[in-house]
Amino acid sequence: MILGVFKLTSCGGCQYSILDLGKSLLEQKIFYFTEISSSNLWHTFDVAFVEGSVTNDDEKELLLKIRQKAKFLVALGACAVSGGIQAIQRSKKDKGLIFYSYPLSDFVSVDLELRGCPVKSEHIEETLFSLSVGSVPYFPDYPLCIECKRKGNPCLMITHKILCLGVITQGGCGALCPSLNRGCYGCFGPVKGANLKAFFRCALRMGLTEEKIREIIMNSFNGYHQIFRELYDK
Amino acid sequence: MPAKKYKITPKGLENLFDLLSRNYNIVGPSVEKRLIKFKQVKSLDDIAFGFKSIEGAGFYNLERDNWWFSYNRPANTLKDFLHPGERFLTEIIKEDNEEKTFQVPRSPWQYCFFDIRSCDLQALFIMDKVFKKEPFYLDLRNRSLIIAVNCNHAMENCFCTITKTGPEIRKGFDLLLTEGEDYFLLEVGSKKGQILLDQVSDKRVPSRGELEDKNRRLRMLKGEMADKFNMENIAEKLLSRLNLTYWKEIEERCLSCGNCTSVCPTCFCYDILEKSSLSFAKTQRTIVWDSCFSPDFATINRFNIRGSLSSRYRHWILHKFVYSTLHFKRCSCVGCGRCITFCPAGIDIREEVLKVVSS
Repeated sequence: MILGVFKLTSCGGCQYSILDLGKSLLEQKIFYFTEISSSNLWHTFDVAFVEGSVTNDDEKELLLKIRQKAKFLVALGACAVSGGIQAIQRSKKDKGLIFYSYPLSDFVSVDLELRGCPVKSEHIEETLFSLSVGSVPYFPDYPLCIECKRKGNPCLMITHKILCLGVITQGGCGALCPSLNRGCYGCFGPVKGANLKAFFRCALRMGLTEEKIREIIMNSFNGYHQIFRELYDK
Repeated sequence: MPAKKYKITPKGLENLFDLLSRNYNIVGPSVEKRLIKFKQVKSLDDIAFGFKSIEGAGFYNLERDNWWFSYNRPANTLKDFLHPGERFLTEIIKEDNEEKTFQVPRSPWQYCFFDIRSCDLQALFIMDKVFKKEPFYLDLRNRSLIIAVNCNHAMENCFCTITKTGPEIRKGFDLLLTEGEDYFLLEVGSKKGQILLDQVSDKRVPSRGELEDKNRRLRMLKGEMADKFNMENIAEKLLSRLNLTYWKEIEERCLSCGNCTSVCPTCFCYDILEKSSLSFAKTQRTIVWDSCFSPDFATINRFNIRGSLSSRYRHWILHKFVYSTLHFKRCSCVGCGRCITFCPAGIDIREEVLKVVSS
């Protein structure tokens, strides 16, 4: 398969998740990957991985060009999926912003979104494997709680009485933080059908204010995700 | 054959535990991470004697008490051992000469489940029916030993009197313990149990008064649990209320996180995940717990038959109280109350069922 890896506004960490695949990457034809090569080629890509969020017109143009060249476009990580941590400025009331951060899906159609900050290399492997055999890649589409309980963790909201975003966050990370008695930060973004209403109710029950809960969600890695945008109007 | 009854002292209990630890990997309730959990234990000191959990809807806390078996059922279930959350199922390796090898591991453990309460024992009977042809489960289950214990107290969240799954244990154990003033009553339930007990020293025949004392305690225990709803004709009542507006109302509160199904001792749904290497040389399969609260759980050929949260919640309740009575001739809610304790939203299944059947 012909691959292209592109970077917009981001820290670049997700590209390293691709490199984590190691030797098995050598079997792929990588035509464009500025992180590892200085000779890059525009071609029709079977799979184009795009990391980072769109923050200026140049990036928007680049993204449109990638979309034209890519048969299958993958948004890589929290920045590409929901604007990333740099979208945090939107939640601040004082204006004078230098730039706005947007996810890829605001401008082009995205074929697959890989969640996480950073993405898991297993998920990239699953993507490449499934596409090469012509099947649909499978990722967890359920809340993190289910993954967390599989690990044998008791619910932190009950035993430690700390707020954990796991109940509205998509699984896939293997419950890293809750396994170490830390509440989930939501780097995998909101789960499909996340029940925000019930989450607010639940967090209020724990003694947090509505303002604080909104702040926690907006300041998370996926604070500007489509599902969370309704919070900005309040 | 009438069950043989004995009386042992705390010293005798230690003696029994030593015997067990020689032949079995003992799993018992122990304090870990601020809660009482089933885990593998080495000695009697590891057991959570003298602790008790205070539980409410979405609430858990530990306290001290002066009984040996002062706590109730632990926070996790026997599922963790017999049907673990994540289990490596098989590995298929393709050699260079295109030959394929399959690896299927067998569990090395020979469990002794120490301190199983009535609710968990009843849950085990249901799991036995679900997994009656599953080799991993069967293998472990057949080699395991069960030491059951009658409860001393009921917690806020206990409701085994409603589901008729307790509090008295009548069958399915190898040995049954009941705590008395300064002794333990021991009842034998199987040959394995009898052989084991024959080796325990320091045992005596209990007096009639001591046997009556056990029954008195159990009667008192029944009174401690509140009858929040009635199980009479529950299946018909629930089935005739499928279109209540109540089911929509639950969407306001339920997070659909699946905590309830994970801690339920009879929720058995699982998924098999496959992971392949990019070089096509190796494939691994893992069996993991699934949950009917997962948004895409009921997706069949890209068509999701339970897309709404309310339909998923309704399905869970119906499975517990209706479908399982059709499949297994018994309600698969055993009244342990774990789903109430570990619901982050604090939803109490007893109140929800009551709301449905009384509207």
